[in-house]
Amino acid sequence: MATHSEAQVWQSARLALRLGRRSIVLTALLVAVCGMFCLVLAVGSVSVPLEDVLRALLGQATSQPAYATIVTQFRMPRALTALLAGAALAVGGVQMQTLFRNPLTDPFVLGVSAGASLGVALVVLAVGTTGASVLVGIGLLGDFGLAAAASFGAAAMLLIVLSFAQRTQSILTLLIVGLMLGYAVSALVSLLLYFSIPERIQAYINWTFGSFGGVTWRQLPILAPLIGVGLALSFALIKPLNALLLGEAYAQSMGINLRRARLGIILSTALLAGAVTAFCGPIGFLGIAVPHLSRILLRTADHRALLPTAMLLGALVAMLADLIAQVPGRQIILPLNAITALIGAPVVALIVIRQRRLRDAFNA
Amino acid sequence: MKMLKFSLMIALVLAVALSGALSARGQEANPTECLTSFNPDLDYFPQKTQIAFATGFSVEYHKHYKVVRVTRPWAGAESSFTYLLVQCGAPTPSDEQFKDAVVVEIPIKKLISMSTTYLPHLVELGVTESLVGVDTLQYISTPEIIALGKAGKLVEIGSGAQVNVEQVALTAPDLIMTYGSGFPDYDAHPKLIEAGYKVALNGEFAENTPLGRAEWIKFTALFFNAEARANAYFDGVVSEYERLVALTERVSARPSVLINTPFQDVWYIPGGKSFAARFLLDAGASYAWADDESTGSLPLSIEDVFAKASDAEFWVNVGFFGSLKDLEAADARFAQFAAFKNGKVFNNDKRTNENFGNDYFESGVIRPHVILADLIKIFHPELLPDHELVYYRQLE
Amino acid sequence: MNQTVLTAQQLSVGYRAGRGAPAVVLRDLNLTLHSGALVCLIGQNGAGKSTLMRTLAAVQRPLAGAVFIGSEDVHQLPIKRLARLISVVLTERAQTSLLSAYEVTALGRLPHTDWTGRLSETDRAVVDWALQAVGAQALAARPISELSDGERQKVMIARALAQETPLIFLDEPTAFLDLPRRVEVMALLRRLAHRTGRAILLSTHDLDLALRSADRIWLLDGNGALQAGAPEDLVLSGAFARTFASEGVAFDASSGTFKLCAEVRGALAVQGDGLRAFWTRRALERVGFVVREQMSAPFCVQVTHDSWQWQGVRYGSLEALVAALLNASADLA
Repeated sequence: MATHSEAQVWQSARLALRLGRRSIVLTALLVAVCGMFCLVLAVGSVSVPLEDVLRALLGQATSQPAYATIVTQFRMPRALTALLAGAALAVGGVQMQTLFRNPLTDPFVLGVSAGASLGVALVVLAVGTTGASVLVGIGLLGDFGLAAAASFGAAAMLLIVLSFAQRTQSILTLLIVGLMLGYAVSALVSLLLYFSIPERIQAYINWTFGSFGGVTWRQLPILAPLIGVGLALSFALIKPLNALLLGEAYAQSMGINLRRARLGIILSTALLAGAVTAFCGPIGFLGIAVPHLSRILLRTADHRALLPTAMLLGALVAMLADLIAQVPGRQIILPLNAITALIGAPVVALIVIRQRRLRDAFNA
Repeated sequence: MKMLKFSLMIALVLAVALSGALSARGQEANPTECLTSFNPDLDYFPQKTQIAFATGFSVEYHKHYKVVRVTRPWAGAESSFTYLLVQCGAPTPSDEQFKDAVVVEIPIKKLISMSTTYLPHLVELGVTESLVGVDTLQYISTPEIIALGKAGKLVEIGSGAQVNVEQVALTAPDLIMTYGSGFPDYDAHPKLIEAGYKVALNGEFAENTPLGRAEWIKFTALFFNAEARANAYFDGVVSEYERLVALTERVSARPSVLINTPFQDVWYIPGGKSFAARFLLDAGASYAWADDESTGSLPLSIEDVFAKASDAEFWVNVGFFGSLKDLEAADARFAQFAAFKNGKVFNNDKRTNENFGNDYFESGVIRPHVILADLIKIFHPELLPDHELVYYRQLE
Repeated sequence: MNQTVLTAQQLSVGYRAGRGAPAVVLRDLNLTLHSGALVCLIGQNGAGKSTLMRTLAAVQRPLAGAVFIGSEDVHQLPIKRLARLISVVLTERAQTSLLSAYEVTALGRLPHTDWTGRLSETDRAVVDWALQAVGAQALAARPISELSDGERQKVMIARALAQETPLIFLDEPTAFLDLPRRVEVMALLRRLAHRTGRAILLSTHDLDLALRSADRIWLLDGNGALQAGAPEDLVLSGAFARTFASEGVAFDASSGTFKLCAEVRGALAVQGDGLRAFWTRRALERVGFVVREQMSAPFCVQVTHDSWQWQGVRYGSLEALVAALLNASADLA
């Protein structure tokens, strides 16, 4: 058996792992994310002159005082939220698609988002026994009224799902249980809607449109760490995720503790999807499509590269969708979920149809 | 003696002539019961009403029937509803043009109301005893109706597409009055019409002026032959409203006003020609979106609203918030608005019952003059020094 | 070389189904695996091949007894430790993904790499070597979903090699492959066992290849017992024939193959040598004649370098000869 020199070995590894491509993609995405962030700060439904944007960022006075508030109090938190939420949903989607080996799963498949919806529905639709104000409960909880309600709902769902995950062997069973739980919870929400008055129904429906603009500076210090922990956990799971690409039998033979891996993945995804839903409402499409786009860009499923790519691409797409929803130049704004779906669904369908490899990748 | 006899004769002749003339003119008032005898030449509706402000319905009088057309049952409606109100005891006209009309025998005796806004009509028209059912008892503020409810005289039939038709059958109403949206998933009237009931579509909420909306009390009155009372009431409202508008016309400074609150980051701002804007302008305020042409609401971003109205002097109709603290807690950015900083935030929920039924949306609809007075009191207190706020309160 | 790597003592394997007595599939096994040897596990379907392999690989608990690698009981070991001792290749078409052959092979290094799975110099060298060893170097950069079944299995073997374990278990690795590929894989495994010193255990239905390639055979007789030995020993002892006897099929020790027991039409002898004679005998057996050493005419067929002769008639092809024989079979019975 001829052995290769160290250089030859490195060369073939570089080629086979497409390391060159990975660096290019990651660098390009990093640049794009920074660029998009600046764009989102500069452009919005109100036309703020560029000098004023810069002045506002530097803490100086702007030609109109309202401009400074707009850039720092409205646009900055929204841009940061979009960035974090996009990254969170994309990484959650990657994990769910790997765990369930299904290209159509999104981070909400375990019903975590349905739990958050139920929490919000309970507060918005059903609260109000005594007291002067309908949402007095929210007033008490402050900024976090809705977010807290959503978080409790998501957490409750998560506990139920985790207890099932402990008990079932088959990952398919877990998927089905998660889906059914999600449907059951949605049915509960329908019941609540049925018994509500129009104003509250309107409020709940508005929540379902999804939005990055409702998160203020006071809420970011809660949202950011939650997402941070979720992302950190996902990075710690790179090895188990890679092992799971070959299936559970092989993963176990390579020393992966399946139970722990499963729990870790579910926890991380629930944290990411739950936090985003709690603060921004249910946001669809990003969690399914961005993982696919990332895989196609990288031409690999190696999570060491896939996770950071998905993070950056998710942030980019989220900010882009938000920018479009603001319809710069016109006086109206569009619901975020409609934008993410309208733009994304055809793109994904097109890509999946044309890429035979992607179908094969999931054994479809 | 001969003089006396002659005067008596004259008096008798005069009396006969007078009574003859009187009977030739028909009734003095619209009938409150069914006719016992029918004369096709008589005008049975001497008390008529005319529609001056509302644009969503019209009435045409004939000797023993009225043709009421609801041309705009809801905003953007493409269909209309025609009602043939035939005096009980008179024959129904069989004219070809009425073949799609809903025939209702008047005056009706049993009504179901599916909105709290119609209940004050019944009180002003003196026909509260005719109410036999409502959609729900929860949100009612009108005391007379609450009493009826407590006495067990009202059936609750639910609302929207889930309306309980069986409960309706229990009461056998002559008429059900409701509103519609045009979406069969949410409307009650398709189901009720299919079940064979007479449904009157009330389109008051599609009116863009306060007086136009209040004038729908006449719509209700038509079914009860109660035009006289409706006219008396409404004329009073109109004169008071116009008096107040005249007060503010000459005002020198118009303070700017911001309306309602956003959800997440969408702020539904009433358009320049909308009902809400009309009130503000009539009350002597200025409105940043007064130039806008739409009659509905514009979904704007908070950014946009902030840019245009952060310095508005007043902030009204803030929705479900009880205090300034609640408002700020919901979104810290509200505290950046000038109106908030100066504590000039007012909400229209002063008269709310324990189930959050707001009387602003009940009696307020036919008392636009009171709401206007409240708003003038807020924006130009010096114009109405003795008025106390009825529907509005200042947020603490 | 040739040390004992794995020992099974008094091992009984089977299933516990709820309460009640467990179902015992194999009992009281005492087995060893040696380094540098290729062992084939064969037996009828349902005899317990999978159960045994799963128990040895510590995926399943034994009903009784224990399995040791060195002095360590495999069923008490943490998974990470096991991953350094046993690697597997499974039948299933591995859940493919967008990984290249290199990346799949590199996954075998999981038990050795840091928490991110970064490949060190050593790791890269091992992966490189593993791909060379199975002859899949040229495939390194190609996505695994593009490879043929045979190529894919080679990569999976490379992965197991890269895991650098003293033991490799393969569960019917050739099940979906065509014959040339099966031969290739068996030859590869044999070569790997001998050159790398790994102990390789594989279960297979390929009796012929197993007889030719295995250093040892573990034969499951279907009655809960296992016989271990060199392939030829098991043939000569008649164990093979007994295990695989069934209706109309018999194991012929002299040829080392299975024969269909066709209805016997008669006996014939074939005169001639070499390849042509060999295949002539095969053809006659196929149509139901018993071939003897010596017989007198008319029970004798002569094979020449370009034709066949029988009863004075020359035939240009076996097909023609056979047809004539069948026509006259009544006379030959």
